[in-house]
Amino acid sequence: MFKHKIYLVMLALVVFASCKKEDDLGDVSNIPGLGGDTWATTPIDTYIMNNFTTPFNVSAKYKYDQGELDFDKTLTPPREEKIIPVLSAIKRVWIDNYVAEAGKLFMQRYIPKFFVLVGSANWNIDGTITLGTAEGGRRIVLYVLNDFRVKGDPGYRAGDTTNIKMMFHTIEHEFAHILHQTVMYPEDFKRISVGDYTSNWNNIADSEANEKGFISAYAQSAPDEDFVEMISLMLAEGKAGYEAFVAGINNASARDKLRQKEVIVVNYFKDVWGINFYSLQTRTRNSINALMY
Amino acid sequence: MNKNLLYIFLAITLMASSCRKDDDYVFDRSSDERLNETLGNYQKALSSSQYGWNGNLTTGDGGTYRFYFSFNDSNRVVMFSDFDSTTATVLRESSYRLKALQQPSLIFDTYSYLHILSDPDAAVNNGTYGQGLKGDFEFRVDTVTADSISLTGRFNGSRLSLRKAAQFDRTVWVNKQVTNGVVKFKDYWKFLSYFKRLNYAGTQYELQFDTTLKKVTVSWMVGSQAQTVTRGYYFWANGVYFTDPIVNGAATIPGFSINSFDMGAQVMSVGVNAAAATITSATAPINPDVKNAVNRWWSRGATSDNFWVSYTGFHINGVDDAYNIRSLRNDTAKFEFLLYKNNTDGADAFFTIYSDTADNSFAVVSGSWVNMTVTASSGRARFNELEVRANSPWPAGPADNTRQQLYNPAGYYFVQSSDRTFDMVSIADPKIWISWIWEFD
Repeated sequence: MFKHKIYLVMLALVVFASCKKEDDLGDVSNIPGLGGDTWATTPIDTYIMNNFTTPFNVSAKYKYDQGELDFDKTLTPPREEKIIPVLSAIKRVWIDNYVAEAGKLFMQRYIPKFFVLVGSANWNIDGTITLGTAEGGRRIVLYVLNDFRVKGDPGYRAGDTTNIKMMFHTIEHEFAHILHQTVMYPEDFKRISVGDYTSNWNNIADSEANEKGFISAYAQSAPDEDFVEMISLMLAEGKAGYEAFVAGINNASARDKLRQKEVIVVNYFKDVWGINFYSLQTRTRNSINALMY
Repeated sequence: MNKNLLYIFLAITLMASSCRKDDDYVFDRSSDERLNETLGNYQKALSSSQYGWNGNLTTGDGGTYRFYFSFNDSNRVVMFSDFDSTTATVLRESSYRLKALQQPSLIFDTYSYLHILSDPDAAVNNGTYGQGLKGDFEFRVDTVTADSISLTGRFNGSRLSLRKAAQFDRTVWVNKQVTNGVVKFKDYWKFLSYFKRLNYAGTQYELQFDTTLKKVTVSWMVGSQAQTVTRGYYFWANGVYFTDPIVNGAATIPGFSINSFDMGAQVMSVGVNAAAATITSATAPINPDVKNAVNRWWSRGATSDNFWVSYTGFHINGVDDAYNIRSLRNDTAKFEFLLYKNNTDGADAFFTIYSDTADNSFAVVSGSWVNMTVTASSGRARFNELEVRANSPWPAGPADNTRQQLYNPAGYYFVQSSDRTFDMVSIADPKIWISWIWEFD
């Protein structure tokens, strides 16, 4: 028995000793695509560098990269002439207003670092389209850039305002997630609509959710979503739009719940971030209005 | 003893096998070096063509589109396309790059004419929502020769073949000859008759264009035998050209250029191989599929729980919905579609369906039970009314006109115009037809 052990140990030694490979890795700087894709710089690249990357360390990928997107979807890259108008709108409506209210350092610290721009909508199997998605507070994918038209563009019509509002709804929504994931909102918020949250939100019409005290159907999916939907829709609709929306709800207790949520949101912005929410709301809506009317 | 031997043997085996230190590549250089060289060669090939490239793209559905590309060496490409008169006229710049994906790939990475075919918004390309026309804009490079590059799409598997353009090719684009082809082909749809034939070198060639899939079916008679081929087509040099020429004995037809269209005489004068030829109306089909199409149409309805619909009724003398059936409405509902349901018991349903303006529910308003008979030798289908459905009379006007037209004793030919559509063409007057659409799977 003992002998066997010795043999086994020897065997192990032999195996370990017998193979010492030192593979030359070769010239690693030669690996194609290492360090990302490169191309000749265009004015669009310069614009992104000057307005997003240098001041905020944000990159925007506008060239098609299947690896950033759903593999089973038919999608197209954006038209080049749409990229700077969209990015400058994002800067004016979202970044500039937060900078004005909370300071540049705040924005540099919390801004999502990576935007992916897609020209077409993301068509779902049920015939609906996705306008934007976000992951991990870092990456935001924006769709339908090719249909992005603002006041003064050829072919601009009233229906295009939906695209504009939805785009900022998406961005403000995801940015609000980053804020509450950094400093949590008060527990009181979760108690306002306790028991009404459901994973079945996609089968509920917005109007039905409104009558239960939710600002949108998606807000009904979870307290976190409720919180960020409150922020994003209040910002995108503006004070007047929000007041009209609340006034249009029939159920008095639903109106009351929305008011309670509003108070918590406003206090959260003031206490945690030192931001006057109503002032931010006015600025944001004014910037959106400037694009639309 | 035996055991010792075993261990020694094992040790030797392990020592001998565990270390093979020869790192020799099968190739003389590393894969990275070879990949970089390949990408460099492709880049050189793309940007070296003085007059750019002619490209034929065949989509995943088999439609063919013609492109012009000119690549430079700083990721920019300019393009024409025969998609419509704008894309054929305005040179558009966008970007491209070569990238080592699983295979060396050519990616058109910002929106260009190529992306129109891939756009999931059907309003852009008349394709399917969520899918478009099954084009591609990411291609793997299959082969590169001195004057051609062939590529395969990574998503829909479309084929792009590039051929080095000569100065002449570029001139065809720049002088708007492709635009001319696109524009003049619109006249082809001003023929009032359903059946059209190209008369060239003493033979009549029936043309059946499918503009959705960009395919054309050409049929002609050799003696008493009908010949039929289907080709992709694209616009080029003032006309329409086939992906492969039509060959009939000594005659070869690569396509035709369009000179003019005489609306009154219903004659289009064209050029084939630089010789004058004409396209004229015809009263009957040549394509022998007419004998089978009617049976396919009937059995698709009969073997399914679903039915054929027509939203616009009869097309007569160049006018869609000639009977104005879409104007039909009553107090609570408006006309939605004509329904034809083939039934194995000999009584087919022919109804007008209205949708309720309040709740969108469907209801039969006028309807008849109909018997269809087919003459196998010619493919002629005739409809006889068995009886009017209970409480579903046909009021005079659009509804009754449509009903009377259906029972025209001369009958109809059926022509399959796409996967899901059949055109039913009046034999008495080929300027009258109705399109039946299959909206179900």
